[in-house]
Amino acid sequence: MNKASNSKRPLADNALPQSLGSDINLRLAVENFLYHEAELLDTWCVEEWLALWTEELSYLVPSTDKPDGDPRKDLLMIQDDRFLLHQRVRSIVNGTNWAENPRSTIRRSITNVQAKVVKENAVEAKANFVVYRSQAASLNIFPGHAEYLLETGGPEGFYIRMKRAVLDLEELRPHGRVAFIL
Amino acid sequence: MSKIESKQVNQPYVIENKGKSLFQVNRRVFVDDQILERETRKIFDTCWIYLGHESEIPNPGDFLTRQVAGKELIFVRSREGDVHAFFNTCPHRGAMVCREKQGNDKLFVCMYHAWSFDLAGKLVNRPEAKRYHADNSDGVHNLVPVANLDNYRGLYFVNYDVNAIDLPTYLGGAREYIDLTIDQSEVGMEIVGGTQEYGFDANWKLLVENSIDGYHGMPTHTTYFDYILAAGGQLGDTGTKINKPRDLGNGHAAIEYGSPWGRPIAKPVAAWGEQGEKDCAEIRAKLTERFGKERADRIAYNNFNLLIFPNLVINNVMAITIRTFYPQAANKQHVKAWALAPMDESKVMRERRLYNYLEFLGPGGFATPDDCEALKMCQQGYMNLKNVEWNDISKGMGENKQGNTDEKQMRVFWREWDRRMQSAK
Repeated sequence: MNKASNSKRPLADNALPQSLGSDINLRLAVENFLYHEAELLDTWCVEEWLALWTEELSYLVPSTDKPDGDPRKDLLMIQDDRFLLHQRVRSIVNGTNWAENPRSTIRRSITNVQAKVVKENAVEAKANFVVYRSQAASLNIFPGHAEYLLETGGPEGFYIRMKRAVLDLEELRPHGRVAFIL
Repeated sequence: MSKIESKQVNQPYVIENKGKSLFQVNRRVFVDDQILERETRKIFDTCWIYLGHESEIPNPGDFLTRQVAGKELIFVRSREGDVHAFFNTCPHRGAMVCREKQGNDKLFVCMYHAWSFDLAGKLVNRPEAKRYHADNSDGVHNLVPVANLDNYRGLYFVNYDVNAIDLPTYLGGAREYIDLTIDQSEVGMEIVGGTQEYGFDANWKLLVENSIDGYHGMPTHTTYFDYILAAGGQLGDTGTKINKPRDLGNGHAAIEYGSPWGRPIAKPVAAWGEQGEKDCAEIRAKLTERFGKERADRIAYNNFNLLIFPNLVINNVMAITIRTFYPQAANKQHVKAWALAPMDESKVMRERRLYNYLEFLGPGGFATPDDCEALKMCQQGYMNLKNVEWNDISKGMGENKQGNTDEKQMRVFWREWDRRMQSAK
């Protein structure tokens, strides 16, 4: 942890044991990154958001009845590689994604962030989310949790290698679809 | 329904004027809860309605619960291997006896008073049984089976009408397309794990029309066709030149066509590389051996969207989706969609299939959300019913040759829908 970021974060107090301090620092760094991601998505800066990803990537949203679904064997709702995610972003930017044109208003809360180093430069993270999406007269709520595989580096501290957004819904009703990015 | 004027209630649901080549549907059929109540009686309670696929309950003791056309059902394979469909309600006081979505068990035990039933529906035990003097020899205390349960090539249907015609007769010409689908595998077809369950505010018949609508593709699905071009594909038909909507009898209809996309059975695309071409050639050779070249090519290359009246859609396209949908209210529907695949498919082909499926289909796919939006917009547009009363389904009428982007296949649905709704029964 460098001094500059320490000074911004009073929680990472020198009085804390070394190991605890480093866990908290990691979590704070991941939280910062996830808040940044959330802000980009909520403000529809989807092209900037796409820059947060590594070259090889996987963005997954499993079917509601199979939260542990494996994209090689099971039917998910979304299983984007770089090419598909790029197309997804493009459809939002071009306005051909009719469900999000005109764009809905989305707002998400990210909580319960956990993070651990799994190998050099690789961090596994988990967070709960609630996304509120309103459009015309309807408000849909998308509660769930996201699992991330992050790689360290880049201007924001991390890149996303994998994001798996698992919805806590039995069915996608009355939402009907996930046409924005979770 | 306050928005409907009394003079409008007397309008026909459907007007077909052959002289003027005009086919119109009155928009109140999408908004009126009384019409939905009539549909429940005249259509959902008398037609064969899709329940599930045999592969969903492969082993003795396997069961699943499912709401099918407004009724709570248990779909179960007994210890002896027979398949049953019961109303999920205790003959005692009515509680649902099975509360899990799926599982494997020996008995269903009602949580309320612990009456228990074997998987063939027979009452086997109840606390303080001696207090009942009426015995159960007439089965009055057994689970109640649906009036009719039958399957065609592994697809199970129920019919709540004791006077129903048999399933094969009901399916009529639709069997040709079910056969083309199931014949993909020598071993059998299976539902892939993971169900897409979603719902939105639009009348169920709008999804019927949309599922066999060849006209909306380009404008609604720009996202998808942009994707195909970006992937290096070509738009339009790259296989067969067939383009003929089919009336399959009893309200069933299909459109069959070639496509720019790859088919895991067995039309390769560039993205699958040389190995993909080799894999597909092998599958085609096997199909040719089983069916001869003509039918093998039809199975491998031809796409179709099949409607089985009233609410089952089998789209055999870049993957196979089985999709069914039920009204929750006149302006709301509940959709369930599954992926169907050959059991003996290779791992790599299954991966290609699933990727294909999600590039177009489902609530997070690159096309289905746009359909959902279009149908919601129709439903909202019907708020103007009082002033703008009619939908137009005339495209292609008066032409000698009907194409898939005409609306003949929708007229097939509407004629049958109207016939059943007018019937005295």
